[in-house]
Amino acid sequence: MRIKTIVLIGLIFVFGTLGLRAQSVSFALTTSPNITFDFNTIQKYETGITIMNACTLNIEATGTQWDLYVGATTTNMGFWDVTSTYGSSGSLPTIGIMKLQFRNAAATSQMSGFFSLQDRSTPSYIIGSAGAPDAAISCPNVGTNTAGNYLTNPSCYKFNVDLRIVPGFNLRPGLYTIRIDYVLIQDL
Amino acid sequence: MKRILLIFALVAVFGTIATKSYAQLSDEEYNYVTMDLRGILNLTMTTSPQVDFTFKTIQEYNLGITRFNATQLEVDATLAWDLFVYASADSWTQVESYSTNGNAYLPAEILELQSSVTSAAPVNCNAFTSLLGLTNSTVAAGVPTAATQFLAGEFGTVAGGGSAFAPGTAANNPTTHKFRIDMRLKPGIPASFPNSTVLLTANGNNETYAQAGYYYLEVVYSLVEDL
Repeated sequence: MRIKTIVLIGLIFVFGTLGLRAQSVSFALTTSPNITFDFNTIQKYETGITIMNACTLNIEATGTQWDLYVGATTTNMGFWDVTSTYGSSGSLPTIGIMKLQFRNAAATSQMSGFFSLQDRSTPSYIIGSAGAPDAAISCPNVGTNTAGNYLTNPSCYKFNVDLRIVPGFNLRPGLYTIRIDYVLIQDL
Repeated sequence: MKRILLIFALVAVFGTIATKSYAQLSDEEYNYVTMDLRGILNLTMTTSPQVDFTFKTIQEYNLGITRFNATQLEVDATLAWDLFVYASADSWTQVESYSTNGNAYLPAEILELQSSVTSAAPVNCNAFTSLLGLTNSTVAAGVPTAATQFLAGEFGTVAGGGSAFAPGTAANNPTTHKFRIDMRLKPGIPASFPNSTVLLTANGNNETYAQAGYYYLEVVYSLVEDL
C-alpha cells in the first residue's frame, strides 16, 4: 500500500510537470499562396514588378522563443524551376532576382528593406539565427523572439511580406516557378 | 524501506528525463510563385511611313535626291534579334503615266538605302546599296535567308555561328537599337537609274529609261527573333 502510494505520487509528479511546460509554435499564411509575376511589357522588364502584401504571416508562439526564416526550394539549387522557355538566348534566372521585404508595425524584422531570396539550405533569418538559443528579445525591439501571438501583439507577431522582381534584359524568356518556404521554428 | 526509496528515485529520474524528451516544434507555410518572362519584340517607326521623291528639275534627275533620316526605327526587345529589309514587290507600281514612251517597269532596286547601324551580315545596307526586291531578297513567307539584306544581325543563330543584336531598349542603347535610314534615288538623264543592281530591261521591255509617271513602292522592315 505504501509502495503504491509512493509510485502514484511519483507519476503525478511526472505528468504534472509535463502539463506545466506546454509549448507550441504555429503561424498562418492568410493570403493566397499562389503568386504570378507576368512580364508582358518592356516597361515591366525595366522597372520590375512589386507586389505589396503578397502574403501575411500571423505568428503564435506559446511558452517558447522562436526563429523565423525564409528560403527557396527548387529542383536545381540556386535557379528557378523551368516550365518552358520562349527563346534560346539569355541566361536562366537565379533565385536571387526574387527580393522580399518583411514589415510589421514595430519593424522587428532583422532584415531591413528588400533582400535577395536564398536557397533554403542557407536561409535568411527574419527573427533569430541558426545558433540557438538566441538571447531573448521582447516586443517591440528588433528581433523580437519571445512567446506571443498576433492577436494580442500584431505589431510584433504579424508580418506583411512584399515581393519584387526586376528581371532586366539578360534573362532567357520563359515560364519559371519557385517555392518560397517560410519556417517558424522553436528556438532551442 | 530501501525498496520504497529505490522505487521513488527511479520514478523521479524517469519522470525528469521524460519532461525533457520532446521534438523541436516548427511550422511552415509556402508561396508558389510563377514568373512569366514574355518574349517581346517591338519595332517602332518614329517618322512618317511615307517618303516622297519628286523629280521636277534637270538637276534633280542628274544628281538625284537623297533623303537623310528618311526613316527612323527603334527596337525594344527581350530576345536576341535580327532586323532585315526588303521590298514587298519586285518593281514599283505605276499609278499614273505622264508619257507614252519609256519603260514603266522600275525594279525595286532603283531605290538605295543606307543604315546608320553597321550590320555584320554579308548582304547589308552599311553604305548606299540597292534595296532588294521580293524575289532577289529570297524572303519567303516572312522568313529570310542568307541572301536577305540585314540591317542588324544576320541569318543564322548565334549558337550556329551567326550573329544577332542583344536584347535591350532603344532609349538605353541608341547606337544599336535606333536606326536612321537614308534613302536615295538617282535617275540620271535619261532616267536609267545607273546605280540600280537590276536593269530596267529585266522584265523584257527594251526601253532603257523610265517612263515619266507616278509610282510607289512598299519597303518592309522586319524584326525577328535571332534566326
